[in-house]
Amino acid sequence: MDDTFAKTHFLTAAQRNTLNKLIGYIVLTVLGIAFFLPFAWMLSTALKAEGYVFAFPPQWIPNPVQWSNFVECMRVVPFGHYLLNTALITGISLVGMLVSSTLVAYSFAKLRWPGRDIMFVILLSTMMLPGQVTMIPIYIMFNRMGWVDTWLPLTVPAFFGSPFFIFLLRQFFMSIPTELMEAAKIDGCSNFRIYSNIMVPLAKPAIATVAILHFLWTWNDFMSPLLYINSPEKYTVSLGLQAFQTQYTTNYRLMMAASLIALAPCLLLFFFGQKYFVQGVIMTGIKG
Amino acid sequence: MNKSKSTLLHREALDGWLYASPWIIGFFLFTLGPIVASFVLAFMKWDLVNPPRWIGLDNYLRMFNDSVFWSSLKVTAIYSCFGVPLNLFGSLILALLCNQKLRGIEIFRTIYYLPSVVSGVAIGLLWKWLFDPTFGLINYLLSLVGIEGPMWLASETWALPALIVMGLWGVGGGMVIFLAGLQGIPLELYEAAELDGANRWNKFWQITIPMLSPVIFFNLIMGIISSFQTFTYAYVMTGGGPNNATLFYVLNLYYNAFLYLRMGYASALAWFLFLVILALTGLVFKSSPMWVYYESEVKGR
Amino acid sequence: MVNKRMVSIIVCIALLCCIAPSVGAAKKTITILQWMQSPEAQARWDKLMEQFYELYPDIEVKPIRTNEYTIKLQTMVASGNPPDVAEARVQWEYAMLAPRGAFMDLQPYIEKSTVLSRDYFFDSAYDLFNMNGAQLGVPINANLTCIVYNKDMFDAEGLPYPDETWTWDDILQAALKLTKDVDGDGRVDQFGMVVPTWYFIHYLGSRGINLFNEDQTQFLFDTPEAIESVQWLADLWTKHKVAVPLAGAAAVGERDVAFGFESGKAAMSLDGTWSIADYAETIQAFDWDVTLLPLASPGAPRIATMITGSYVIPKKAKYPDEAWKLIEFLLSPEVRKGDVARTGEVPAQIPVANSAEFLSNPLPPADRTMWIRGLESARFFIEPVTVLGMELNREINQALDQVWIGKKTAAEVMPPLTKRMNEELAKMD
Repeated sequence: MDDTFAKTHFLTAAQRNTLNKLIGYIVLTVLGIAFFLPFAWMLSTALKAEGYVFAFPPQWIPNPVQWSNFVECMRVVPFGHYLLNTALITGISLVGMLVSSTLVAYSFAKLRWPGRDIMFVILLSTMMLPGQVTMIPIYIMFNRMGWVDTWLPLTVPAFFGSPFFIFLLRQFFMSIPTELMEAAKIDGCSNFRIYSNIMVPLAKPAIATVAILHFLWTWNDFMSPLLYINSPEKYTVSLGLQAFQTQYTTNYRLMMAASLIALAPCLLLFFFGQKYFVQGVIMTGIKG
Repeated sequence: MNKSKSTLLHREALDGWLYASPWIIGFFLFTLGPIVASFVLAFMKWDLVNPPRWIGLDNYLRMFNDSVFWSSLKVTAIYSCFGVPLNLFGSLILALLCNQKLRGIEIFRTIYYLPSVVSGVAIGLLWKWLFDPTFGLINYLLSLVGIEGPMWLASETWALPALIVMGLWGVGGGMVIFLAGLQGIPLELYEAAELDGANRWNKFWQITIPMLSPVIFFNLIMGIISSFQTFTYAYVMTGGGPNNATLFYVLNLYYNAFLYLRMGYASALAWFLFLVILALTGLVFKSSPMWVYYESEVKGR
Repeated sequence: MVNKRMVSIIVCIALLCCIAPSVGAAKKTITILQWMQSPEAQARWDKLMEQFYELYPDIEVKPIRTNEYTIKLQTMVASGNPPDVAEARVQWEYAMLAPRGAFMDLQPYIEKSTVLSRDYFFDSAYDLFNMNGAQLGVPINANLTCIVYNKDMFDAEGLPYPDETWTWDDILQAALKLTKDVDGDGRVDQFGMVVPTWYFIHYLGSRGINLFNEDQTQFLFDTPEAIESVQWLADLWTKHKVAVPLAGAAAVGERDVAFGFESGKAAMSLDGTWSIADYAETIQAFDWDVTLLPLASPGAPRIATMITGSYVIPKKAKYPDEAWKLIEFLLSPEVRKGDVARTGEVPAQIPVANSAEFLSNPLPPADRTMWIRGLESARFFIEPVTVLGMELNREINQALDQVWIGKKTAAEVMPPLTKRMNEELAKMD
């Protein structure tokens, strides 16, 4: 916005640009520090030696720096195994989620069918009932199905779409001009081709957002694995992190080191994945 | 076009159901049963141990005579009144800041999203330190300018505002969604507006906001839903205290379900909250034709 | 062709017959819900199970481990598929589930047992799990309340260390001297003590104040002694300002006591033996030690209070007999002696507490017979949560918040609170 803006005003474009950038950086940095604090605390705790964790106020730069925490936490817990489990669960559910949620959202946004609006209200309503009261009925259901202590409760439901992502994608699909669709229809395109060849490519930023958010949420999910997984060999990373805690003690330095390892794939994905939702397809030439 | 319009519409209706069927099937398989179960449980007494027993409307009657119910509703309403708009504006502003083309902006985006993914333990401990009345950073900063800071989480007055501030840390999720929305705005619109002599504000209000309105709408609806279901921070940080000043509706519900083992009453609480959220989001939906701008809306039949 | 088919069918049947008996005599797999364990503890568990399988080759034990113990147990119980053995802490899982009949009466097993009997346990711990004549749990440990103190701070003030002769007033006097502004910036940065608010129960207990009448029909929270005691505790924050200021209700929960003591901001901590092993590992910056809770007045009898956990068998357990065998094994003197040699816990079993393994454990205090003295003076002490349940217990705590932060006095809050609780109590039966 600022680049285009600078062209029309009385300060020289270069001056204006520099000023804007400077202000931008200052604001970004001040806010950034506030948002960076919890991560910084994790990092510094993960590098501390035993006995230095509870310095209060926090000692931000550990002295001594103990890198071995990262090695030690991997020894306590078969972390590689848990990472692999989590990657499998997340990957499987991600595929199911993307296919079904985009298709369902397209149907809600762009197709006319009897009962659509009622079904949409029902879809939204399912998010309005607090999960605390359906948790036990859901557990009983999966228990009767014999799904407890398997990955099925963590992956299968994703193949039927999630209301949150369906609603989000519907909003994006609805902002795509219908003229495009009409034109394709006149050319004889089926509804499915319109979905796969027009809607999905144009909604790439939204789909990338859904993919990233779903990845991060499934990766970090604690409650479902806690309820459904009993055997250590089926643990996810979030369950594995419990190992640094016992009834009376918490080993914060190892726990934070392990949390950072668990977090690393998320951070890398977010850092490198953002170009897909930020510099995605810019829909030029559509309007007018 | 050699097919008649009605066959086309028929075809579209068929495809519509077909494409929506994954969710519809999933709804009947996994979602409906537990929802019905909780609806029925709301008319029962169930302690998780002994078989549920039918008690009719008792749970609902009890609810309206329960002072804790009313106070938790009030706490949640106050939290939402401030929290929903603050979060919406916060995430929008962050998204606008992060949409600039600056070197290293990717790092800033990642940092803003960090609190949404870092460990809950780290966040909890850090906030405890920030808000600690004696050793905390916030009161230390206040003391530098000669203000004696409040007791924050131990104060009936300040605990709720403290939780509202904490909630603001999670704006990264909304920011990501807004960022995706901002990409859908065609640059030509801005260029055309500039030719008409529009300034920064004009462009923001007349292009960015209307073009972003479907996403604002989404974040508003989800903000209302999640804010009325707020639970985690209060559970971890205050346990609902002091003197129930931060006993959120869903925290009270959780206590009823898993601490007092009154699953029936908790279910009734859940269904009342469901109605409240449904009414509020319904209002937003009703108002949406006035302010949400879709490129072209396809009406259902 | 037909013959070939016949042969193969016969072979199949024969094979099935061979498999069938072994299926019939298959191992019974019992589950035990456990707290998360350190890798060392897990290795020891595996060793113990090898011993167990030698004794009972037809039983297989499958542990399920979690730190979200309560909710996992509740969900499993609610689904009708509970673990065969679970642990229940007296003020948590036991207080919630036992009154609702979730656990089996173990009395018949105990009567038949050659390993476990009433005499094997400290009475005060054993009786906590008796409800209307039914023994619903057998105690594992008997974690005593105690005072942990920072020796360096006492040395710096030239004060003697707290010992078993100290009274609560001695503690206050020491705390007053230990509360100070060390760096001279005008703000107090060293406090006399850390007090978790939920500790009031144990403070009252140590002063011999009964919260209920004999048959538990009357809540006695409005007696002058109870009111005075609660006010004395509140004064530590509001009047004497020797206690680390409260940072929030949940923020003064069990774990976060550490924010005061472990970080070296407080000279003493009202604490329990459950913290000791953790402190031994995490505190390296200063010397510390531990003693029993003080006396009500000079020469008064010592009264110790405890927080204990037990093994229970949920009613819908699939293999209760096998579950009992596991409990017997886990609580046997040999196994428990091995436990207490490694951890900081105080055992609820008399021979185990008197064993060399427990007494020679290197964790503080140096004289570990202190815990035996504590256990012998411990009294069967009824907490509000046991009689009134979780909800009213929470209501009491929320009402007392106003006293702790000095908004109201104990005399203002406690009489109406007691009246209300008694009304609720009357409705219960």
